[in-house]
Amino acid sequence: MPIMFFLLVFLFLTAPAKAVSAETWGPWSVSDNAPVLMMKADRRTAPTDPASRPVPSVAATPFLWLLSFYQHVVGPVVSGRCNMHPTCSRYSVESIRKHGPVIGIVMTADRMMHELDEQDLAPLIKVGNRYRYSDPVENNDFWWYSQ
Amino acid sequence: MRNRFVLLLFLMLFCGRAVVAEEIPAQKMISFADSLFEKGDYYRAITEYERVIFFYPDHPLALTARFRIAHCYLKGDRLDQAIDRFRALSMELPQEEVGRRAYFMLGEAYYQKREYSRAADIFETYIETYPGDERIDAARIKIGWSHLRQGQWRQAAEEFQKLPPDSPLHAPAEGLAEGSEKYPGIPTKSPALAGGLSAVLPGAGQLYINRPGDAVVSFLLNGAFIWATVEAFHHDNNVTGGILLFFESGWYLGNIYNAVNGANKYNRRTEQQFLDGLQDKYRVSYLYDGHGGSMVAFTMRF
Repeated sequence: MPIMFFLLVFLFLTAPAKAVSAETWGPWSVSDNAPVLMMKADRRTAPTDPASRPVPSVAATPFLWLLSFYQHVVGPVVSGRCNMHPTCSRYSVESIRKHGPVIGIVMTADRMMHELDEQDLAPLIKVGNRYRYSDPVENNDFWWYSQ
Repeated sequence: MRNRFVLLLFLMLFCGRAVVAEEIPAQKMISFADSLFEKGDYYRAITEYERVIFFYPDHPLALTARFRIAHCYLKGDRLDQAIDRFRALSMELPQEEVGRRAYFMLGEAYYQKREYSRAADIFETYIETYPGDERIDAARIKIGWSHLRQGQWRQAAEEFQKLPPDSPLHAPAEGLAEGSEKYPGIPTKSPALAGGLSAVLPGAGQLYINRPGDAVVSFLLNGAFIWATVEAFHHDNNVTGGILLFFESGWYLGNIYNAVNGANKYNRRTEQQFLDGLQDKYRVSYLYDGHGGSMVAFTMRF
Protein backbone atom coordinates (compact mmCIF):
# COMPACT_ATOMS: atom_id res chain seq x y z
CA MET A 1 0.00 0.00 0.00
CA PRO A 2 2.69 2.56 0.86
CA ILE A 3 4.45 1.58 -2.37
CA MET A 4 1.29 2.27 -4.37
CA PHE A 5 0.91 5.62 -2.63
CA PHE A 6 4.54 6.49 -3.36
CA LEU A 7 4.13 5.51 -7.02
CA LEU A 8 1.01 7.62 -7.36
CA VAL A 9 2.75 10.64 -5.83
CA PHE A 10 5.75 10.05 -8.06
CA LEU A 11 3.59 9.86 -11.18
CA PHE A 12 1.71 12.98 -10.12
CA LEU A 13 4.96 14.89 -9.67
CA THR A 14 6.76 13.69 -12.79
CA ALA A 15 3.96 13.71 -15.38
CA PRO A 16 3.52 17.49 -15.57
CA ALA A 17 7.29 18.03 -15.50
CA LYS A 18 7.68 15.91 -18.63
CA ALA A 19 4.97 17.74 -20.52
CA VAL A 20 6.35 21.17 -19.74
CA SER A 21 9.67 22.40 -21.09
CA ALA A 22 11.36 25.77 -20.70
CA GLU A 23 11.19 26.48 -24.44
CA THR A 24 7.46 26.19 -24.98
CA TRP A 25 5.91 27.26 -21.70
CA GLY A 26 5.85 30.81 -20.39
CA PRO A 27 6.03 33.33 -18.90
CA TRP A 28 8.64 34.77 -21.25
CA SER A 29 9.91 38.07 -22.56
CA VAL A 30 12.40 39.46 -25.06
CA SER A 31 12.46 42.95 -23.59
CA ASP A 32 14.12 44.27 -20.47
CA ASN A 33 11.24 46.77 -20.23
CA ALA A 34 8.77 43.95 -19.77
CA PRO A 35 10.55 41.49 -17.52
CA VAL A 36 8.88 38.24 -16.60
CA LEU A 37 10.29 35.05 -15.18
CA MET A 38 11.86 33.68 -18.36
CA MET A 39 13.91 36.24 -20.31
CA LYS A 40 15.48 35.47 -23.70
CA ALA A 41 18.93 35.20 -22.11
CA ASP A 42 17.58 32.81 -19.49
CA ARG A 43 16.17 30.55 -22.18
CA ARG A 44 19.63 30.18 -23.68
CA THR A 45 20.96 28.99 -20.35
CA ALA A 46 17.88 27.03 -19.25
CA PRO A 47 18.46 23.31 -18.75
CA THR A 48 17.39 21.31 -21.76
CA ASP A 49 14.75 18.65 -21.67
CA PRO A 50 16.54 15.41 -20.60
CA ALA A 51 14.60 13.46 -23.23
CA SER A 52 16.15 15.54 -26.03
CA ARG A 53 19.74 14.88 -24.90
CA PRO A 54 21.76 12.38 -26.95
CA VAL A 55 22.21 9.00 -25.27
CA PRO A 56 25.93 8.36 -24.56
CA SER A 57 27.60 5.29 -26.00
CA VAL A 58 29.17 2.61 -23.79
CA ALA A 59 32.64 3.85 -24.76
CA ALA A 60 31.71 7.36 -23.62
CA THR A 61 30.53 6.30 -20.17
CA PRO A 62 33.95 6.13 -18.39
CA PHE A 63 34.79 9.61 -19.68
CA LEU A 64 31.47 10.93 -18.49
CA TRP A 65 32.10 9.36 -15.05
CA LEU A 66 35.48 11.07 -14.88
CA LEU A 67 33.93 14.39 -15.86
CA SER A 68 31.15 13.88 -13.33
CA PHE A 69 33.81 13.23 -10.66
CA TYR A 70 35.58 16.43 -11.68
CA GLN A 71 32.34 18.43 -11.62
CA HIS A 72 31.22 17.17 -8.21
CA VAL A 73 34.53 16.78 -6.35
CA VAL A 74 37.22 18.92 -7.97
CA GLY A 75 34.97 21.57 -9.55
CA PRO A 76 33.58 23.05 -6.30
CA VAL A 77 37.15 23.63 -5.08
CA VAL A 78 38.43 25.33 -8.24
CA SER A 79 35.09 26.69 -9.55
CA GLY A 80 34.59 30.26 -10.75
CA ARG A 81 37.60 30.34 -13.06
CA CYS A 82 35.84 29.57 -16.33
CA ASN A 83 34.54 32.63 -18.15
CA MET A 84 32.71 30.62 -20.77
CA HIS A 85 29.19 29.22 -20.98
CA PRO A 86 28.84 26.29 -20.83
CA THR A 87 31.86 25.73 -18.61
CA CYS A 88 34.64 23.57 -20.10
CA SER A 89 33.59 20.47 -18.16
CA ARG A 90 29.96 20.93 -19.14
CA TYR A 91 31.05 21.53 -22.75
CA SER A 92 33.07 18.35 -22.64
CA VAL A 93 30.10 16.34 -21.37
CA GLU A 94 27.88 17.78 -24.11
CA SER A 95 30.38 17.18 -26.91
CA ILE A 96 31.09 13.59 -25.76
CA ARG A 97 27.36 12.91 -25.53
CA LYS A 98 26.82 14.38 -29.00
CA HIS A 99 29.83 13.08 -30.93
CA GLY A 100 31.26 10.21 -28.90
CA PRO A 101 34.47 10.08 -26.82
CA VAL A 102 37.09 10.59 -29.58
CA ILE A 103 35.62 13.67 -31.27
CA GLY A 104 34.33 14.86 -27.90
CA ILE A 105 37.83 14.89 -26.40
CA VAL A 106 39.28 16.58 -29.49
CA MET A 107 36.57 19.24 -29.26
CA THR A 108 37.30 19.69 -25.56
CA ALA A 109 41.00 20.24 -26.35
CA ASP A 110 39.95 22.77 -29.02
CA ARG A 111 37.71 24.54 -26.50
CA MET A 112 40.53 24.83 -23.96
CA MET A 113 42.81 26.28 -26.63
CA HIS A 114 40.40 28.82 -28.11
CA GLU A 115 39.14 30.43 -24.89
CA LEU A 116 41.51 33.38 -25.17
CA ASP A 117 40.56 34.68 -28.63
CA GLU A 118 36.95 33.59 -28.33
CA GLN A 119 36.40 36.11 -25.55
CA ASP A 120 36.85 38.92 -28.11
CA LEU A 121 34.22 37.45 -30.41
CA ALA A 122 31.62 35.51 -28.39
CA PRO A 123 28.47 37.25 -27.12
CA LEU A 124 28.37 38.03 -23.41
CA ILE A 125 25.37 36.55 -21.63
CA LYS A 126 24.23 36.62 -18.02
CA VAL A 127 24.26 33.23 -16.35
CA GLY A 128 23.02 33.32 -12.78
CA ASN A 129 24.64 36.34 -11.21
CA ARG A 130 27.65 36.70 -13.53
CA TYR A 131 28.38 37.35 -17.18
CA ARG A 132 29.98 34.67 -19.33
CA TYR A 133 30.97 34.31 -22.97
CA SER A 134 28.57 32.09 -24.85
CA ASP A 135 30.34 29.30 -26.71
CA PRO A 136 28.10 26.23 -26.99
CA VAL A 137 28.98 23.01 -28.82
CA GLU A 138 26.84 24.18 -31.77
CA ASN A 139 29.22 27.11 -32.23
CA ASN A 140 32.06 24.68 -32.90
CA ASP A 141 30.48 21.92 -34.95
CA PHE A 142 28.08 23.93 -37.16
CA TRP A 143 30.33 23.47 -40.21
CA TRP A 144 29.91 19.70 -40.08
CA TYR A 145 26.27 20.15 -41.03
CA SER A 146 26.32 23.21 -43.29
CA GLN A 147 28.58 21.74 -45.98
CA MET B 1 -30.28 46.84 14.39
CA ARG B 2 -32.34 44.83 11.93
CA ASN B 3 -33.02 47.94 9.85
CA ARG B 4 -29.30 48.69 9.68
CA PHE B 5 -28.59 45.20 8.41
CA VAL B 6 -31.23 45.50 5.66
CA LEU B 7 -29.82 48.89 4.67
CA LEU B 8 -26.27 47.48 4.49
CA LEU B 9 -27.43 44.53 2.39
CA PHE B 10 -29.26 46.87 0.03
CA LEU B 11 -26.17 49.07 -0.34
CA MET B 12 -23.95 46.06 -1.08
CA LEU B 13 -26.30 44.76 -3.76
CA PHE B 14 -26.60 48.19 -5.34
CA CYS B 15 -22.81 48.70 -5.46
CA GLY B 16 -22.35 45.22 -6.89
CA ARG B 17 -24.78 45.99 -9.72
CA ALA B 18 -22.97 49.28 -10.48
CA VAL B 19 -19.65 47.45 -10.91
CA VAL B 20 -21.02 44.65 -13.08
CA ALA B 21 -22.84 47.10 -15.37
CA GLU B 22 -19.54 48.39 -16.85
CA GLU B 23 -18.46 46.45 -20.01
CA ILE B 24 -15.23 47.05 -21.89
CA PRO B 25 -15.76 47.33 -25.68
CA ALA B 26 -13.59 45.26 -28.03
CA GLN B 27 -11.88 48.36 -29.41
CA LYS B 28 -10.69 49.38 -25.92
CA MET B 29 -9.52 45.87 -25.15
CA ILE B 30 -7.49 45.71 -28.35
CA SER B 31 -6.06 49.19 -27.74
CA PHE B 32 -4.75 48.00 -24.39
CA ALA B 33 -3.31 44.89 -26.00
CA ASP B 34 -1.69 47.05 -28.69
CA SER B 35 -0.10 49.26 -26.03
CA LEU B 36 1.48 46.14 -24.47
CA PHE B 37 2.63 45.07 -27.94
CA GLU B 38 4.23 48.48 -28.53
CA LYS B 39 6.09 48.16 -25.21
CA GLY B 40 7.46 44.81 -26.27
CA ASP B 41 5.49 42.95 -23.60
CA TYR B 42 4.35 40.30 -26.04
CA TYR B 43 3.53 37.66 -23.44
CA ARG B 44 0.94 39.85 -21.72
CA ALA B 45 -0.29 41.26 -25.04
CA ILE B 46 -1.23 37.73 -26.13
CA THR B 47 -3.44 37.34 -23.05
CA GLU B 48 -5.21 40.57 -23.86
CA TYR B 49 -5.74 39.62 -27.51
CA GLU B 50 -7.08 36.26 -26.32
CA ARG B 51 -9.49 38.19 -24.09
CA VAL B 52 -10.87 39.98 -27.17
CA ILE B 53 -11.38 36.63 -28.92
CA PHE B 54 -13.06 35.15 -25.85
CA PHE B 55 -15.49 38.00 -25.19
CA TYR B 56 -16.12 39.00 -28.83
CA PRO B 57 -15.63 35.85 -30.94
CA ASP B 58 -17.81 37.21 -33.81
CA HIS B 59 -16.46 40.75 -33.77
CA PRO B 60 -14.29 41.76 -36.79
CA LEU B 61 -11.52 42.66 -34.31
CA ALA B 62 -11.31 39.01 -33.24
CA LEU B 63 -9.55 38.26 -36.54
CA THR B 64 -7.18 41.18 -35.97
CA ALA B 65 -6.51 39.79 -32.51
CA ARG B 66 -5.69 36.37 -33.94
CA PHE B 67 -3.25 37.88 -36.41
CA ARG B 68 -1.59 39.93 -33.70
CA ILE B 69 -1.23 36.93 -31.39
CA ALA B 70 0.75 35.27 -34.15
CA HIS B 71 2.73 38.49 -34.60
CA CYS B 72 3.44 38.55 -30.84
CA TYR B 73 4.90 35.05 -31.07
CA LEU B 74 7.03 36.15 -34.03
CA LYS B 75 8.32 39.24 -32.25
CA GLY B 76 8.78 37.23 -29.07
CA ASP B 77 11.04 34.77 -30.89
CA ARG B 78 8.54 31.91 -30.47
CA LEU B 79 8.81 30.99 -34.10
CA ASP B 80 7.15 27.57 -34.06
CA GLN B 81 4.06 28.97 -32.35
CA ALA B 82 4.06 31.92 -34.77
CA ILE B 83 4.24 29.54 -37.75
CA ASP B 84 1.32 27.48 -36.43
CA ARG B 85 -0.83 30.58 -35.90
CA PHE B 86 -0.01 32.26 -39.21
CA ARG B 87 -0.55 29.02 -41.10
CA ALA B 88 -3.94 28.39 -39.46
CA LEU B 89 -5.11 31.92 -40.25
CA SER B 90 -3.89 31.86 -43.86
CA MET B 91 -5.49 28.48 -44.55
CA GLU B 92 -8.76 29.44 -42.92
CA LEU B 93 -9.18 32.79 -44.71
CA PRO B 94 -7.06 32.69 -47.88
CA GLN B 95 -9.14 35.31 -49.73
CA GLU B 96 -9.38 37.80 -46.86
CA GLU B 97 -6.80 40.53 -46.28
CA VAL B 98 -5.91 39.08 -42.89
CA GLY B 99 -5.32 35.66 -44.47
CA ARG B 100 -3.04 37.14 -47.14
CA ARG B 101 -1.07 39.04 -44.52
CA ALA B 102 -0.83 35.89 -42.43
CA TYR B 103 0.59 33.97 -45.39
CA PHE B 104 3.19 36.66 -46.01
CA MET B 105 4.13 36.57 -42.35
CA LEU B 106 4.35 32.78 -42.47
CA GLY B 107 7.19 33.24 -44.94
CA GLU B 108 8.73 35.86 -42.67
CA ALA B 109 8.55 33.45 -39.71
CA TYR B 110 10.35 30.73 -41.68
CA TYR B 111 12.93 33.31 -42.75
CA GLN B 112 13.56 34.29 -39.14
CA LYS B 113 13.79 30.61 -38.26
CA ARG B 114 16.58 30.45 -40.85
CA GLU B 115 14.67 27.95 -42.97
CA TYR B 116 15.48 30.02 -46.02
CA SER B 117 14.55 27.49 -48.66
CA ARG B 118 11.10 27.05 -47.15
CA ALA B 119 10.68 30.81 -46.74
CA ALA B 120 11.53 31.33 -50.44
CA ASP B 121 8.95 28.68 -51.44
CA ILE B 122 6.25 30.43 -49.42
CA PHE B 123 7.03 33.84 -50.89
CA GLU B 124 7.02 32.30 -54.41
CA THR B 125 3.60 30.79 -53.72
CA TYR B 126 2.46 34.14 -52.35
CA ILE B 127 3.39 35.87 -55.62
CA GLU B 128 1.62 33.19 -57.67
CA THR B 129 -1.51 33.18 -55.49
CA TYR B 130 -1.94 36.93 -55.05
CA PRO B 131 -0.46 38.48 -58.22
CA GLY B 132 -1.98 41.94 -57.70
CA ASP B 133 -1.17 42.26 -54.02
CA GLU B 134 0.68 45.28 -52.65
CA ARG B 135 3.22 43.05 -50.87
CA ILE B 136 4.47 41.36 -54.06
CA ASP B 137 7.60 43.50 -54.27
CA ALA B 138 8.41 42.91 -50.61
CA ALA B 139 7.94 39.17 -51.22
CA ARG B 140 10.44 39.32 -54.12
CA ILE B 141 12.97 41.06 -51.90
CA LYS B 142 12.46 38.39 -49.29
CA ILE B 143 13.03 35.66 -51.90
CA GLY B 144 16.25 37.44 -52.88
CA TRP B 145 17.36 37.58 -49.27
CA SER B 146 16.51 33.91 -48.76
CA HIS B 147 18.81 33.05 -51.69
CA LEU B 148 21.54 35.36 -50.42
CA ARG B 149 21.44 33.85 -46.93
CA GLN B 150 22.06 30.47 -48.57
CA GLY B 151 25.01 31.83 -50.51
CA GLN B 152 23.10 31.78 -53.83
CA TRP B 153 24.10 35.30 -54.77
CA ARG B 154 23.40 35.01 -58.51
CA GLN B 155 19.79 33.91 -57.93
CA ALA B 156 19.47 36.64 -55.30
CA ALA B 157 20.66 39.35 -57.71
CA GLU B 158 18.26 38.07 -60.39
CA GLU B 159 15.37 38.18 -57.96
CA PHE B 160 16.17 41.72 -56.81
CA GLN B 161 16.35 42.85 -60.43
CA LYS B 162 12.82 41.59 -61.11
CA LEU B 163 11.28 44.55 -59.30
CA PRO B 164 9.63 46.95 -61.78
CA PRO B 165 11.07 50.50 -62.07
CA ASP B 166 7.81 52.06 -60.79
CA SER B 167 7.95 50.06 -57.56
CA PRO B 168 8.66 52.07 -54.38
CA LEU B 169 11.12 49.30 -53.48
CA HIS B 170 12.98 49.55 -56.80
CA ALA B 171 15.83 51.71 -55.43
CA PRO B 172 16.71 49.43 -52.47
CA ALA B 173 16.30 46.38 -54.73
CA GLU B 174 18.84 47.84 -57.17
CA GLY B 175 21.22 48.43 -54.28
CA LEU B 176 20.69 44.88 -53.04
CA ALA B 177 21.33 43.47 -56.52
CA GLU B 178 24.60 45.41 -56.70
CA GLY B 179 25.50 44.30 -53.18
CA SER B 180 24.80 40.64 -54.05
CA GLU B 181 27.37 40.84 -56.85
CA LYS B 182 30.00 41.59 -54.20
CA TYR B 183 29.25 38.35 -52.33
CA PRO B 184 32.12 36.37 -53.94
CA GLY B 185 34.51 39.08 -52.73
CA ILE B 186 33.88 38.34 -49.05
CA PRO B 187 37.28 37.54 -47.47
CA THR B 188 37.61 33.88 -46.53
CA LYS B 189 40.20 31.58 -44.99
CA SER B 190 40.75 28.03 -46.17
CA PRO B 191 39.93 25.50 -43.42
CA ALA B 192 42.08 22.86 -45.17
CA LEU B 193 45.09 25.17 -45.30
CA ALA B 194 44.59 26.20 -41.66
CA GLY B 195 44.41 22.55 -40.58
CA GLY B 196 47.42 21.61 -42.72
CA LEU B 197 49.54 24.40 -41.29
CA SER B 198 48.66 23.39 -37.74
CA ALA B 199 49.45 19.76 -38.51
CA VAL B 200 52.96 20.78 -39.59
CA LEU B 201 53.55 23.31 -36.82
CA PRO B 202 51.02 23.62 -33.97
CA GLY B 203 49.79 27.21 -33.83
CA ALA B 204 50.67 28.08 -37.45
CA GLY B 205 47.11 27.57 -38.69
CA GLN B 206 45.80 29.74 -35.86
CA LEU B 207 48.17 32.53 -36.90
CA TYR B 208 46.86 32.22 -40.48
CA ILE B 209 43.24 32.73 -39.27
CA ASN B 210 44.20 35.75 -37.13
CA ARG B 211 43.90 34.08 -33.73
CA PRO B 212 47.28 34.82 -32.15
CA GLY B 213 46.15 33.94 -28.62
CA ASP B 214 45.06 30.47 -29.73
CA ALA B 215 48.34 30.13 -31.67
CA VAL B 216 50.46 30.79 -28.59
CA VAL B 217 48.43 28.43 -26.36
CA SER B 218 48.48 25.71 -29.01
CA PHE B 219 52.21 26.03 -29.67
CA LEU B 220 53.18 26.06 -25.98
CA LEU B 221 50.88 23.20 -24.97
CA ASN B 222 51.94 20.95 -27.83
CA GLY B 223 55.59 21.96 -27.48
CA ALA B 224 55.61 21.20 -23.75
CA PHE B 225 53.89 17.82 -24.12
CA ILE B 226 56.02 16.74 -27.11
CA TRP B 227 59.20 17.73 -25.23
CA ALA B 228 58.07 15.92 -22.05
CA THR B 229 57.09 12.80 -24.03
CA VAL B 230 60.44 12.68 -25.83
CA GLU B 231 62.31 13.19 -22.55
CA ALA B 232 60.30 10.44 -20.82
CA PHE B 233 61.06 7.89 -23.55
CA HIS B 234 64.65 9.09 -23.70
CA HIS B 235 65.04 8.28 -20.00
CA ASP B 236 63.33 4.90 -20.42
CA ASN B 237 60.21 6.02 -18.53
CA ASN B 238 57.97 4.25 -20.99
CA VAL B 239 54.80 4.33 -18.85
CA THR B 240 55.10 8.08 -18.25
CA GLY B 241 55.92 8.54 -21.93
CA GLY B 242 52.83 6.56 -22.93
CA ILE B 243 50.57 8.62 -20.67
CA LEU B 244 52.09 11.85 -21.98
CA LEU B 245 51.73 10.61 -25.56
CA PHE B 246 48.05 9.89 -24.93
CA PHE B 247 47.51 13.44 -23.68
CA GLU B 248 49.64 14.94 -26.44
CA SER B 249 47.65 13.15 -29.14
CA GLY B 250 44.54 14.87 -27.73
CA TRP B 251 46.24 18.27 -27.77
CA TYR B 252 47.66 17.70 -31.25
CA LEU B 253 44.33 16.69 -32.80
CA GLY B 254 42.62 19.46 -30.83
CA ASN B 255 45.11 21.91 -32.33
CA ILE B 256 44.22 20.83 -35.88
CA TYR B 257 40.50 20.90 -35.09
CA ASN B 258 40.98 24.33 -33.54
CA ALA B 259 42.54 25.70 -36.75
CA VAL B 260 39.86 24.19 -39.03
CA ASN B 261 37.08 25.30 -36.69
CA GLY B 262 38.55 28.79 -36.43
CA ALA B 263 38.70 29.14 -40.22
CA ASN B 264 35.06 28.11 -40.53
CA LYS B 265 34.07 30.55 -37.78
CA TYR B 266 36.05 33.30 -39.54
CA ASN B 267 34.21 32.61 -42.81
CA ARG B 268 30.84 32.56 -41.06
CA ARG B 269 31.63 35.84 -39.30
CA THR B 270 32.77 37.72 -42.43
CA GLU B 271 29.73 36.47 -44.35
CA GLN B 272 27.44 37.51 -41.50
CA GLN B 273 29.04 40.96 -41.33
CA PHE B 274 28.64 41.42 -45.07
CA LEU B 275 24.98 40.38 -45.05
CA ASP B 276 24.16 42.39 -41.91
CA GLY B 277 25.80 45.45 -43.47
CA LEU B 278 23.73 45.01 -46.62
CA GLN B 279 20.57 44.51 -44.61
CA ASP B 280 21.23 47.62 -42.51
CA LYS B 281 21.86 49.65 -45.65
CA TYR B 282 18.67 48.58 -47.44
CA ARG B 283 16.32 47.64 -44.67
CA VAL B 284 12.85 46.44 -45.67
CA SER B 285 10.58 45.86 -42.69
CA TYR B 286 7.02 45.04 -41.89
CA LEU B 287 5.42 47.59 -39.56
CA TYR B 288 2.18 48.62 -37.92
CA ASP B 289 0.83 51.89 -39.26
CA GLY B 290 -0.65 52.90 -35.90
CA HIS B 291 -4.27 52.58 -37.11
CA GLY B 292 -4.71 48.87 -36.79
CA GLY B 293 -3.22 48.01 -40.19
CA SER B 294 0.25 47.05 -41.30
CA MET B 295 2.59 48.19 -44.04
CA VAL B 296 5.88 47.39 -45.70
CA ALA B 297 8.52 50.06 -45.13
CA PHE B 298 12.09 50.48 -46.28
CA THR B 299 14.95 52.63 -45.12
CA MET B 300 18.21 53.38 -46.90
CA ARG B 301 21.42 54.37 -45.16
CA PHE B 302 23.79 56.56 -47.17
